[in-house]
Amino acid sequence: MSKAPATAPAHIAQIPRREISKCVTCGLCNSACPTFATSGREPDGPRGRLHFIARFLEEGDGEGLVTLDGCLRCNLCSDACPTGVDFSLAVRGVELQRTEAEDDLATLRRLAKDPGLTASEKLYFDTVLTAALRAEQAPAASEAASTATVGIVPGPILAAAGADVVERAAALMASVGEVPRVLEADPGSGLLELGCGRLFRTAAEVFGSEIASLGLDRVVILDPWVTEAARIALRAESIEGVELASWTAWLAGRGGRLAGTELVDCPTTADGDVQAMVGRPQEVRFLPQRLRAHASPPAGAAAARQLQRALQDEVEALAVRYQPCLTVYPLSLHRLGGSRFIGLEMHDG
Amino acid sequence: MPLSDAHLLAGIERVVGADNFLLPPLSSAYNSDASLERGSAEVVVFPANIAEVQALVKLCAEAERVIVPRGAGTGYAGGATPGPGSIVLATCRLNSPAPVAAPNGRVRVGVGAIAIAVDRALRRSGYFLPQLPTSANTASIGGCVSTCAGGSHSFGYGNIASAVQAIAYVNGSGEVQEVSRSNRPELLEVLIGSEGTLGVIVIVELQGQPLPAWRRALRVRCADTAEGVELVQVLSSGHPHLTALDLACPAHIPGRGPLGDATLYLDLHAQTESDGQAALKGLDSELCRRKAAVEQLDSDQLGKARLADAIARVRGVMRSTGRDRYFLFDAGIPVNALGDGLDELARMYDHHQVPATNSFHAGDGNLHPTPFFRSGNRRQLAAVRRFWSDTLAAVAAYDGALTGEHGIGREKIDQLGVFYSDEARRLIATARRKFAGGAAFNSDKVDLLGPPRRRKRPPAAPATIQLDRPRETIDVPHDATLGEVLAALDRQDLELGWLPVGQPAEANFVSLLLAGWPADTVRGRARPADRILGFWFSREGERGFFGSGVWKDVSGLGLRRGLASGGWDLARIEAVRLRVSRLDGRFTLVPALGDLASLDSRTLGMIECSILRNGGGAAVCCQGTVDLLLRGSATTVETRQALALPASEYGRLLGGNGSSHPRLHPLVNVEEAAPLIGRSDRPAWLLPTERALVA
Repeated sequence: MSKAPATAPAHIAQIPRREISKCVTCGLCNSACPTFATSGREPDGPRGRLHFIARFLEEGDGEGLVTLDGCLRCNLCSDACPTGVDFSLAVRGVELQRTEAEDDLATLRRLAKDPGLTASEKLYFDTVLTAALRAEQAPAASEAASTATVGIVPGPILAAAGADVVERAAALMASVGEVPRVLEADPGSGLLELGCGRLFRTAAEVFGSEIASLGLDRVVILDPWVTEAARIALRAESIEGVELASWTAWLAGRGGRLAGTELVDCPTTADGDVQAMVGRPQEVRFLPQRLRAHASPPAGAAAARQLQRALQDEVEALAVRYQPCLTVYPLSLHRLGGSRFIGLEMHDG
Repeated sequence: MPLSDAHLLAGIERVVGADNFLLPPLSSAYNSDASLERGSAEVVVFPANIAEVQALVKLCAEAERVIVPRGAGTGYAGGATPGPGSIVLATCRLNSPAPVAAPNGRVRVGVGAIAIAVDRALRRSGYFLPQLPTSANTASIGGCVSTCAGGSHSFGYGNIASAVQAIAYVNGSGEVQEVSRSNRPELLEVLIGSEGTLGVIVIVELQGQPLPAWRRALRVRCADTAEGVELVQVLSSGHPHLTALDLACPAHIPGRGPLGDATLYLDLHAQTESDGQAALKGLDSELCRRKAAVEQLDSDQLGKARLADAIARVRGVMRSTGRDRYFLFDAGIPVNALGDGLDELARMYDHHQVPATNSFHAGDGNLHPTPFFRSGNRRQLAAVRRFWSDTLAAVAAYDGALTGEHGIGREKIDQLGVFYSDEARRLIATARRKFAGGAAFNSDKVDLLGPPRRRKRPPAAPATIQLDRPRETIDVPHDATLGEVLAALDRQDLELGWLPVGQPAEANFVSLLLAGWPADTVRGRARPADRILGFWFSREGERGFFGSGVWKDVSGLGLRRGLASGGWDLARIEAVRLRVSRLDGRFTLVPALGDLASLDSRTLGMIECSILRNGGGAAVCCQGTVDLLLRGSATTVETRQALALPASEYGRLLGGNGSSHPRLHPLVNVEEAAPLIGRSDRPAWLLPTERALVA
């Protein structure tokens, strides 16, 4: 493996600068941030973290970067941002700059320099780059017999990067000495976004159990949302309940297939519900205001209706468990992105 | 001798604990808020209760440090940016009492509560808080009160000053004071919008508005800004159910012309379906006449739709120009000057070569010009600042307001002299001294007596009543009577906007205003205090004028609102300038209330009360049957509710003026009334209108 420069590539350094330059410090991102909701303090919110990234980039003062450790990487702040700051990109960019790893990064650099990359692709390569740098930093672990890299490549990445992204990812992982194994690739859905709070828990259950079943001792996951979910899964073994995790199998048993979930509207967590849950770690502390799940129905209207009814029952049972945080609204068949889905919506109570 | 830094820090730690204050570098996250201003936060403290705030205020006074209270840091004027050596007092932990609304829509809450949480609490009781800024998901309720927040619905409901009923604050001596509508209301008004310069507000008590049973939001695409402005000026008066009237102008890119269309955002609220539909019909006819493209929206989604459109405009400009930063400014001009004002703004954009958007609260004349610049480009940023300075000068020339809802902060402190004379600024300083204590609160934002930059002479105090019908204002000298004011308005088909229930025509108008009008006499949602545009005053041998041509002017420590709150002792008032309304020519008929013989005195009194509350009208008795004719539209339900009230409530509605009906006067405009109710025979008797009071 050839040696790369001791600092991150120049174009990587530009990523956080570009994102920070877009910030108008309006603070709307804070309303979407789960960690800000708990403390109300600027260093615990995206605006504060961007401030410290800016200090690091402009003045070389990296002391405040400790605040990045508290970030859940859920990127909900980016959804709330009026100017489209991609917080994940900023954080990853600055993390790369702080990492003085030496690596063969030529391929990554070349790919990441491609001006035609979409934001999702950039994010993807950023993540891969981070994984590569970390792998280089921990050679002992990567050489262990039971170690492999699991690539979870969700719909949006696939849609943005093209079908060969899995092969490209595998090649990249192999180039940095990882054993690639694609855990999930779902090119058909175009939807797989797992967010904070209950969704973290859900994702944790989905991916945590699958990852755990592989018996690996090191995991690299190629998506910012899923990354955090899996991290939580691997950290918090005591999380109870597998309701949503069972959906995949549950739907499959009825001719359906879980196509993805989508955070529709999650503007705030600063409500009494959150306050009530603080200090109860086994409870979900951050609630998406609204969650929409999509599932591809089986062929035939009757079968679809049957599945719809069954899904309604299932979700209502779920809502009972989570009362009063969730209210289940009637399911309906509707079109989304040109495909037919069964939709269900859950709102906070 | 002031406390040393070490003693100060030890004291802070003793008060709030080691985990609840920040020092550099983490405190630097508080160097700025949402404005372009940058400060330097040396220490940030997070008190959890009032006792800790008191101790911190005393400590800072001893150490001779300035305290900068800070909510969520979403202010656009730099009100929370700390000067060197300041102690930032973050209120995020001051969230006790929790937002739990009483059944009557009253909520008492710690200032650290998020504004949207207060609104949600009210909604659970059937009320809501209309005066929410766009940042309500982040902004603290304390910040909203401290900056006198408005938002889109201030058009229909007034700004947050209308909702605030009481404030508890820690003064400069570290004492907790409480002011309310019944206890020093003028100080309450001064505290609202004081931007943390008078003390640390720790608890606020708010009265929510009843949730409308019927809502409808409209998005109206206009051909251009001129058409949008024309619609705004038509709709801004005479539509009592219209609660929000915003306009998004096309983005302006110098040398390229407008980008996008002009869009109006309207929100209608009513308490019944029939009232709402009637209001919608009235609005539709105005819009159809102009062939406007109208789209009905889910009312709950109006704010989001407006924000999404605004973001799309912002991103469009960013893509077109490569400029990645913007700043949202705030000022106000009279609605009747909106067309000229926006033309002037366009000239400013071109002159300074700044691309800009402007999505703003047009019904209130509250502009939000948003110029763009490229981050790190000092030349462009300087151009933006010059643009803003010149724009404010133009706004002042239009008799506009320095700020409509963002506040003065650090951003506009140097502009006070453009909008206020030396005499007016000394009046503000006098009001501020009422709160004087040991500690300095946000003192770098209260340089009220800086160099004068007055651009024009203030108007001379009027010797007689002066009406300006195009601008819908009236200037009332101190010796004018209520009857004279009403008569003058009547001649021009204008009205006060509230009703002088129970006041004799010969009463002195200004004295009534200073004493505060009973809340029950107010028609509609706005208060008399919000109708005061300015006043001429004299004190300590000097005379001056205080105010602007915009009701939604939150500069000047709320002194205009304070004027109408009783207890005013700052200066002698020579004359008052008020905004007035065009008379709504429509009438609503409430037919067949009953037989004349069956109407006892109590019911007759209630009818009178209903007429007064609804802005005039008549009870018409023909052939033994009594009909009720009310000026304005869609007030039938209120009337029926009033008639169903018990006698005790009725007395309250009359403002304590008795439950009898001693003022049965002939209706002045009976000829107008008779055709409307489809009867040609002359009514047997009539109840008073506002005009009848003059007779």
